[in-house]
Amino acid sequence: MADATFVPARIRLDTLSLSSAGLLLIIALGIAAPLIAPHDPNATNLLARSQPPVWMEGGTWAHMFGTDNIGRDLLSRCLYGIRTSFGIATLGLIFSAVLGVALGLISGLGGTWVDRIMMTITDVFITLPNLLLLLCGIALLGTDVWVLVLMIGLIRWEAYARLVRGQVLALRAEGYVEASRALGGSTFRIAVRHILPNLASPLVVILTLSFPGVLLMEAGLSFLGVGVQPPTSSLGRMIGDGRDYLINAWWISGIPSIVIVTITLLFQLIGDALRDRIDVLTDG
Amino acid sequence: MIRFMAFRIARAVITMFLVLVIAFVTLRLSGTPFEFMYPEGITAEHLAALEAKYGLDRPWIEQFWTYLSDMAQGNFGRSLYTSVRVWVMFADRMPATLAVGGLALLLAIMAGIPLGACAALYRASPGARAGMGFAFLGYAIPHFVIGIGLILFFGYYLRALPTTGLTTPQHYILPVVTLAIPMIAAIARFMRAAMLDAIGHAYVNTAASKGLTDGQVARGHIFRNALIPLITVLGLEIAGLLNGSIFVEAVFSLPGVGRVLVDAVEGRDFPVLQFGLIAYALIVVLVNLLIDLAYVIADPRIRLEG
Amino acid sequence: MADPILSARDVHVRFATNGGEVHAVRGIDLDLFPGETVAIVGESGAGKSAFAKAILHLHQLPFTPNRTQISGSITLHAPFQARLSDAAPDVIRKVRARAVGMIFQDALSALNPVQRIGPQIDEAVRQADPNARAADIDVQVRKIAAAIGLPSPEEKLNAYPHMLSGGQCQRVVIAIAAVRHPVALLADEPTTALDVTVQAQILKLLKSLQEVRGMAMLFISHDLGVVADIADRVVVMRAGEVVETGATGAVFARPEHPYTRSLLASRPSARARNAASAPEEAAPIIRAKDVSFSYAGGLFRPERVVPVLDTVSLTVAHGRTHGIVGESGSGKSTLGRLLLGFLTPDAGQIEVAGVTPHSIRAGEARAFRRNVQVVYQDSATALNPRMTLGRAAAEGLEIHGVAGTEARREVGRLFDLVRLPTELMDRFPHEVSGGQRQRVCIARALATKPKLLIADEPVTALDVSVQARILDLFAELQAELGLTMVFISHDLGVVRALCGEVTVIQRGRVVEAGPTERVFGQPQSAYTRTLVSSVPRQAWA
Repeated sequence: MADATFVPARIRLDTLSLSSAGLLLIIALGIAAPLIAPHDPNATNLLARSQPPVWMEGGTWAHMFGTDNIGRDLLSRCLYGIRTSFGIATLGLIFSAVLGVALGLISGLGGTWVDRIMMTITDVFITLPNLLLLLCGIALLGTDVWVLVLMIGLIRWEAYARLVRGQVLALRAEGYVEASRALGGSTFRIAVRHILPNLASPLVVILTLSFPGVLLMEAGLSFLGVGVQPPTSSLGRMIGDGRDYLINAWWISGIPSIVIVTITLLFQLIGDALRDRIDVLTDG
Repeated sequence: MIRFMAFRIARAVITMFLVLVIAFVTLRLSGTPFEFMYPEGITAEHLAALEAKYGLDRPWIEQFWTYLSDMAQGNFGRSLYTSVRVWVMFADRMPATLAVGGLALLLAIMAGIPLGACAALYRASPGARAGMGFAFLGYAIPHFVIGIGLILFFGYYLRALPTTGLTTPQHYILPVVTLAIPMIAAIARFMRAAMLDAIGHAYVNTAASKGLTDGQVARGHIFRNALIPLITVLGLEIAGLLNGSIFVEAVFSLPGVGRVLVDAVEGRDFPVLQFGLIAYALIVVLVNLLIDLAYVIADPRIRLEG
Repeated sequence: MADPILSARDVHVRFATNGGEVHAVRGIDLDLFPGETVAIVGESGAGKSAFAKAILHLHQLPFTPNRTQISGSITLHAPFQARLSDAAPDVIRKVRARAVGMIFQDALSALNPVQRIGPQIDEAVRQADPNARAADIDVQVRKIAAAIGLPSPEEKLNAYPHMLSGGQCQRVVIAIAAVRHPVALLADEPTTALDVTVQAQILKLLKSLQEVRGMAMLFISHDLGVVADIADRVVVMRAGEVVETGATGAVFARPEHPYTRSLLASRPSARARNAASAPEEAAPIIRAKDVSFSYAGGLFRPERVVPVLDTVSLTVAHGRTHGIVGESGSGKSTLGRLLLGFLTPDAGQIEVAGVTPHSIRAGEARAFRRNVQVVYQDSATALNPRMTLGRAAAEGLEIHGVAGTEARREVGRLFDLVRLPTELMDRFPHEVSGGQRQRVCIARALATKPKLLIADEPVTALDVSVQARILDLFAELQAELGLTMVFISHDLGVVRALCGEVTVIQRGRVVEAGPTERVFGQPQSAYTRTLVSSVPRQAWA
């Protein structure tokens, strides 16, 4: 059986739990931002602008991660940024998951013609350039948070629809589904008793695997300046804003970059570990 | 094979048509340009007169037809801000984007495939582990962060490479590498998995039973079979390349198409946006068709079964 | 007595797996003499494959970490001396290229799907003799292509593996192994996945190659009938050890070890099972007349209609056990699904238990589903992996209104009926054996007290001894419950043992039908004769 990760087998289980713990910690920090942030993320302090982080010369404990070019505390902004990013990503993901699952179920259970039409639609959607559509949508509708959630959701639904449909079709052909029909079971019973329970676990896996992508999409848009708008802070925006100060104050972009990298690495570790586990399970 | 390709081509045409519709609708929904032209205000009659003059009060179907025929003649409208013709704006900047993108693609293929293949064959070696570790990182970290990191390291710390613009060949290095890294990672990871999968198949055993050396088995049997699914992955990655180039151009301030588009979003410059949408979609669709063709040629099971 | 080509002494094979170390082969001694055929028989897990692969170090996939340990000595004596057990890689390669060939079970996947057939055989020749000229290699390839009996060899050599049938692929695999004129051929279950008639042809081919080239063969199989036909000596293995060995005729006639005896006794024909005696004038429960069915082409290829059944007629009276026999692709499974109403025939009438299955009205449907039940081949996929066995068996009851404690009690009774311990009710499918799973499927089918049971290859996926017990179970159930059974299978031995009457199908047409003894004893159609003669004779003993 091919293993798709380089993490050695022995410590695989520990990797999963450690990464999950790390990620949950970060999320918790983000949720608790209003409580634990040392400063107001939008409070400017021109006297303390472009202060380096505490471990560099000139840094103070008052601004542990330093400040940006107009004196805003980076630690607080990062905490709030985590909150914003996760919030938008979660909502967007839920939206596209619901949409995708519903359409996938319809496609899989609905009969050949419904299926063919749905499949053509999803095929076309897949080939459309995501980012461009996102940009057009934002240009049309503005950069309201809800617009971002909506657009992000609309971009990804087809992946889930495909998965659900594929699972439904595969499960429909399973021996026990046909056996259930032979016993007199109705389509509804089959869907509820046999298909949905077997759908839950791969769905959870693929949602976990797509979360970082959605998160990065928002971060990327904010980086470009067309995502979250000030005063709401977002990690991507912070990186974008700090681009011009890289020479003298690299930490303005650097700190939020490190945060993003940490988050995505943790997700990556979890994703790989999950994929391995699922493989092991399906091998019986 | 004909059937396979015919189906794909039909789908491509439908996609492009849908894109055109979306672009058109976006353009129309964005409102009329007249508010921009007369920021101090405009009377209702003047507005109606202007609309009639530009044919904006016609039924949408008719407007769509005009839209399409304009495009066929090369007229894609003008930027709302600069009044430069959209086509010209893009034509000026396309070469830079294509150059960086093309080089990145080449680099990704030349680095990613061998990396993944060797990682699969020599699984336990430290080199393979390091390589896959690199791929792990490259896959997870977004383009713009990689770009910033490289700028900091090579641009400021080492002062070895230029970080803005594209005036000399050295200017290409950092942007191309930034764009390529996630793709190298994805290709390497995928190649590794595909090779490991191929190794598990019975024909590898048959090959070994002929007395072939490991190298011969790897080249003739494992690698050839792993290449086929790789082709499909390449298609997906190329689409991602277009996305990535927008970010890379922002980070390195390159004179490419990406900057134009981002500015257009901020400024709601819809004529520019709709052209960008169409152009990008066309590229993706064409590339996918090429990939499909390559796939058909490479896999005899599809080629000879229609 | 000539010297042996290959000798093995006290060979042990151990694998390191995630679940601990597996001691697959425990001390085998074996000699292989020129020109002879030695068969290694045993059930799955006996270690026969592990031993054969260990000879050529083929247990070890290239580029995979080595998890296998071989101890003892395996020595090659001809055409050159070589110690195989701990040989260097290049020695092993030399042996593989020139001295000993190996063929495997699944021929289609044993061939490289993206390479044409010709070059694949070519590669083998080149490896054996790197200095050979291209023209000579070409000649050899053509010769072997002719020798293995490939129809239109030019075309086939240029084709890709997926364009060939299973039997043709196996011929190619044999060609690859035999083209270098090896002194010995290791054959690991080469005919198990093939139809009976194709199997007979492949065995003939192997025998003829042996005769012409003086090749010895080590033949691994679980099929005693095949072994009886082709092997000079037989080695019986169980759980890694050799249990008995000797000349085939002697071992089969007078088995000494109790395991050998039980193995031989498990053959379907060896059990005297009475085909159910039913009243002579029983009313028919199945009446199918001139049924035809084909798979429609689909939107993009409407002309590619695949005919599956052509004017098939079938009559089964109450209380009988009727066998439907055919090879793969004959349409027998499709017939089963038509009888169950899962497919609609293109033409003809079907009447089962008084109704037309594919067009039942809602009201009759429940009664129909109660009365007509089915047991499938693959018990692993026929059971929902997330449902306990008890719940699975109770599904029919639940659908038809029995639930809760009463259902559980009934399931307990059913488990007793199929001779399963009731503790298994709370286990999951992957936690029990194949035989036990199949019993659960049978219990599930019997829950609604059906009048008709359709069994589609119910024992094909099981080991021989387990097969025997399940067949016994079927016979007992039939006697106890007065069931009518339709038994679909490709295995004539099984059908002959269990069914009083049989219908033979070839490529969608009924070729012959009637009482089993008569059809198999004095077959009237040419196909039935071929079918009967292809079955290794010991199966009939």
